[in-house]
Amino acid sequence: MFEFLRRILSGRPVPEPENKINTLSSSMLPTANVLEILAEPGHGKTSFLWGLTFMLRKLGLVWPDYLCWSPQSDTNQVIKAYHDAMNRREVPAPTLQENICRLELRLKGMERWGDRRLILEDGWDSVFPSERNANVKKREIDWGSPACWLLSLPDLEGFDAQDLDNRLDTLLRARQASARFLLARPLRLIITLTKADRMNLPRNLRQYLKLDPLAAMVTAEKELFDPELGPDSRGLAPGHPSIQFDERAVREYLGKLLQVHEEISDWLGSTLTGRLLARRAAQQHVTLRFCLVSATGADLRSDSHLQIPWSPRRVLDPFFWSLEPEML
Amino acid sequence: MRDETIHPDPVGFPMIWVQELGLYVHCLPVTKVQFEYFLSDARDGHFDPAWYESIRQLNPRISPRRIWSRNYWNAFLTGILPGEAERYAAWNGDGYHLLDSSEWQSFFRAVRGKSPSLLDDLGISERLGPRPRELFQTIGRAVDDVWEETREVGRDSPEKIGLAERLLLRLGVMEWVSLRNGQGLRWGGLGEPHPNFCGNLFAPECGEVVLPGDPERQRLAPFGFRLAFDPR
Repeated sequence: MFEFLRRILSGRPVPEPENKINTLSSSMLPTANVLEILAEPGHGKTSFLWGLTFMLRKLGLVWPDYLCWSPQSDTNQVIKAYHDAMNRREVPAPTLQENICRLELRLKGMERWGDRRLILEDGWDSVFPSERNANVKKREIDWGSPACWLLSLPDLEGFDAQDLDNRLDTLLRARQASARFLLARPLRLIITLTKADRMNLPRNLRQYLKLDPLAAMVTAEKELFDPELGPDSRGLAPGHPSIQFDERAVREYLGKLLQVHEEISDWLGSTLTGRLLARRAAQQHVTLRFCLVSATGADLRSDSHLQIPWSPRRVLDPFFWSLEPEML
Repeated sequence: MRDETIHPDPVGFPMIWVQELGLYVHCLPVTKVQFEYFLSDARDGHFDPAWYESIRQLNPRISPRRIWSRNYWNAFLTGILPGEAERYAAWNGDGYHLLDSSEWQSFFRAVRGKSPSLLDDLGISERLGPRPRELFQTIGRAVDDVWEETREVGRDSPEKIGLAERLLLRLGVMEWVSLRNGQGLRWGGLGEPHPNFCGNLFAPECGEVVLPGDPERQRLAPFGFRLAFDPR
């Protein structure tokens, strides 16, 4: 991990990612990235998925050869429904068991990572089911893939110091009970702190969320096509030099991702909750990475609607971590 | 700098001269205490007790002595519609108005990077009556505490708070500003409320104007305002 940062800081070349595939032939599918997303009810899983798929589609604004689609019409319809709801400024209702869905996306022409398949699942959680779903047959989790564990920051404030440790223990026991446990690599856990817009964060972490270059590119596109903004518009066209996400910019982004992970780790380490979490993870040989995200970007709402457009912040970070096995 | 750098509004709350604008601007967003003078004077039926009750449900009232870093935003009058704020401006007299977006941003640029000790140099506390002074000082202490609570990870020595934060252009409320273009008047918000008041990642330092869907009709808890005064 630190070797990666040293390489960035020293200007030495960063190693190529594994399995980079630049062309897609009919006989060769891109490498599959399964991102297992785990969360207790109410910790923002569906909002995160809405924000993540939204931003995955928007990456075409900064990568000229990029395409994001699904070979499955069901997935396309589900994602279209997500984005239509976001355009109407809706926020997700609690997930019901019958709403489980599996999303398979093809991502083509990404800078640095080339072509990938991404598999995501929405629905009730098999590690942290709600009471209503406690007796439902559990979905098998691919523990060989990085797991993204969503934790709502405002809810963490109400936890006792041991609560988070207990939850990590629950997660590790679920993994040990899995049929695939013995085949799996050591667990790589991306702890993703959600709803970060509602927290009084240390200033550098708040700035990291506020100044998200990928969110800025979405804003720039929106402003470009808003005739009512007039002279207040700061819109930039897709492909504008200031919103390029080229090889160098991606490398810098990943360096910042690592720096922010360490800052979050230090911040959590200043609390007993955070120290217990780190201790348990070390004892169980779990590699932890930390991210901060806000799916909506703000909590300015009335009834069940946001009063301003969705503005997901840093929701791609857990995905970027999952693409970088060397960093994990 | 004018001789009269501080100008009290009609109920004694301080406004500061902003050379770049040629205007006085309220040092803080309008508080409930200020607005209550207007309410006691309002003659039409719109601003009745039920109206004020609905406002206080969105952002409860607090007495100055109970203000601290986790509730100071309760002191401000928020949840107001921009048209109502304009009526308050008119009640203050000729020359008072809500800021437009470019005035607000110029104000921000004029004070960012400056030290809050400038306010002490101007002798602001000595020039206020007891109620405005108490509010101004308690809110100032609360904001200092917020600044300390959000110290950067890994930073040993505290970073000093700036004048923009002390004047609550950040860490305050969303402030209604007018946006003028060829198609008429629109309302937007500038500012950065405390995230415990309203979750947000707004960046007024980048000139980000927030555009709510229905500003003329939808009351939004974190939206307040401050006034400018043109003495000419």
